[in-house]
Amino acid sequence: MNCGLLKKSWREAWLITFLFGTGLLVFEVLLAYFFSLFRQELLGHWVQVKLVQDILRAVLGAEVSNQMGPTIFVSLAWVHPVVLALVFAQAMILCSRVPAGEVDRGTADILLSMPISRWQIHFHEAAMWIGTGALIISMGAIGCYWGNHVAAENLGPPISRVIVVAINLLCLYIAVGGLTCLFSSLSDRRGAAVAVTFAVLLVTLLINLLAPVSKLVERIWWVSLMDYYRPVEIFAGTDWPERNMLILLGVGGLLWIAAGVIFSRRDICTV
Amino acid sequence: MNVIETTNLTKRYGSRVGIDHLNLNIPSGVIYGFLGPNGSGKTTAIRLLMGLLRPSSGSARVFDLDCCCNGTQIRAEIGYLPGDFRIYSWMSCRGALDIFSKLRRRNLHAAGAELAEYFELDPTIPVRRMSRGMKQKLGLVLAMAHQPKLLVLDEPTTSLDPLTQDRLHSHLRMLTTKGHTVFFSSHVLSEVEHLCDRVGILREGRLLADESVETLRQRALRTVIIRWKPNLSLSEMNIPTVLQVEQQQGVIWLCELRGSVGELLQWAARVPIDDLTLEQPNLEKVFRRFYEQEQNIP
Repeated sequence: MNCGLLKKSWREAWLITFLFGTGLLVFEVLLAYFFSLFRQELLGHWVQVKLVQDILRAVLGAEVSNQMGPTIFVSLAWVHPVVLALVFAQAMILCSRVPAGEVDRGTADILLSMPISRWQIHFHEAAMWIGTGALIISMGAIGCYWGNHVAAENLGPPISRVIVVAINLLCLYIAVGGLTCLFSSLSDRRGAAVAVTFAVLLVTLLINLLAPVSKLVERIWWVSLMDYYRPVEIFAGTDWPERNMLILLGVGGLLWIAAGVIFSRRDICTV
Repeated sequence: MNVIETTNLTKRYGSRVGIDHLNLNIPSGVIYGFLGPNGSGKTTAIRLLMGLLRPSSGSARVFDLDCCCNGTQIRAEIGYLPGDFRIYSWMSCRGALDIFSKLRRRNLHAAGAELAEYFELDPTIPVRRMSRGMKQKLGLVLAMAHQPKLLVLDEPTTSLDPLTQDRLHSHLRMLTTKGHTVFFSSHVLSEVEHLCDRVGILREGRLLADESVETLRQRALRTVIIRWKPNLSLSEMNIPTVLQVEQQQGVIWLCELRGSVGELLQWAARVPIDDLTLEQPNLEKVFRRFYEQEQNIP
């Protein structure tokens, strides 16, 4: 491990990690509090409406008619657009820093003139984005548990289930990070790398949204990363979603390796 | 042993040629000036040496190690200042030395502080509050703090004041007396002429000349300024073959000496000249001649 590289990366990542982590924690607590306030009304009326069920099925990516209870609300807190936006934004911002970000702002020359290999840089960057990702997701998990057990008077899921969902989300975060790394390694412009990743994620989310209600889209559901992240099933069951996690980790790992190979061989030009 | 050795080093960007069959052999302990106008390939050559670019063909070796395969080892002994030096805005000189010490696994604090003092750079100011000149000084401090065997400087005097330029020049000279090598790119001819031991002249990616400054200077055509005595019929003057008249402004003629000084003086003693000035040969003339020759080639 090179402390200099870690220190430099942490100096650039701590603020965003702190802000996003705090945002996630506060949002999870607020959501738990909000659901606890309107729990009876929501369960008694709204979730029984067919249209609301369809929307929930699309958002959660699973059949929910037989699971209408507090589980639905906790699951919603883990697939809420704000939560996903914060987690994906963390991945995209940190993973597009090297090499696209460094080339874009002209600091790549100095970084790459150090006696460190490009693979070492790639490895240290990965350690930083995975570490900080784990940190913000942990803060989200703390917020979820705390919110449901304090604000919602102990009606939330056990901590073990929250941890499993958090780990599944971390796997999703790694897959998104790997994707961003790949586009970053192919680009000299950070904005372009982020934009392409964002477009791919948008397609992924769209497939996940439409698949439960469209037979045509359902056929290609497997290409959506969101297909491998199902909090509602985790909260409802007792098993670990090993297959989903392995797929997400595999995709993330392969994309990260491909990004490393490209980065280690590519020309670093001035822009 | 040569510190830098390139063999038919070529870099193409699609159909455009960055560097074309560049052959360099730079021994240790010299200041090597790499001359060329904008877009001639100086920066491309430097980036190939630093391993930032991969050659299209040919090879580049530094300290007898291949730049592509042994980049990490090579860079441990190189100090590099890019042409467009940019660094993290949140860093200060002190902070940068701290991180660079960890990156290079060497304590650079003392040497860095000494260099910052030498270049009159406040080590506590963050980069975002630095002027262009101060940033350039920081770049020099960071390039030299680890006392590298080879310094690669891409137009280092850009945005430096004349006083700092002088300080840099004397520091570089001092480094070469200790056996360090300096690879110095510039398009400021006077600077290269005063500082460098050896010069490579580059044009459109090709090396036109690679000689000592002294040899190049000897090859330079010297300018002769002749002031004739007034009221002469200058059209009847018999000009010897050693002189080629370039410009006539009344009684003042600007000529190029294309022979020996002795022949010129023998001729001058016989003609009604009021004054004769023989200018020192300089690199600019050689440089311009190289380019004019190249441009004249159809």
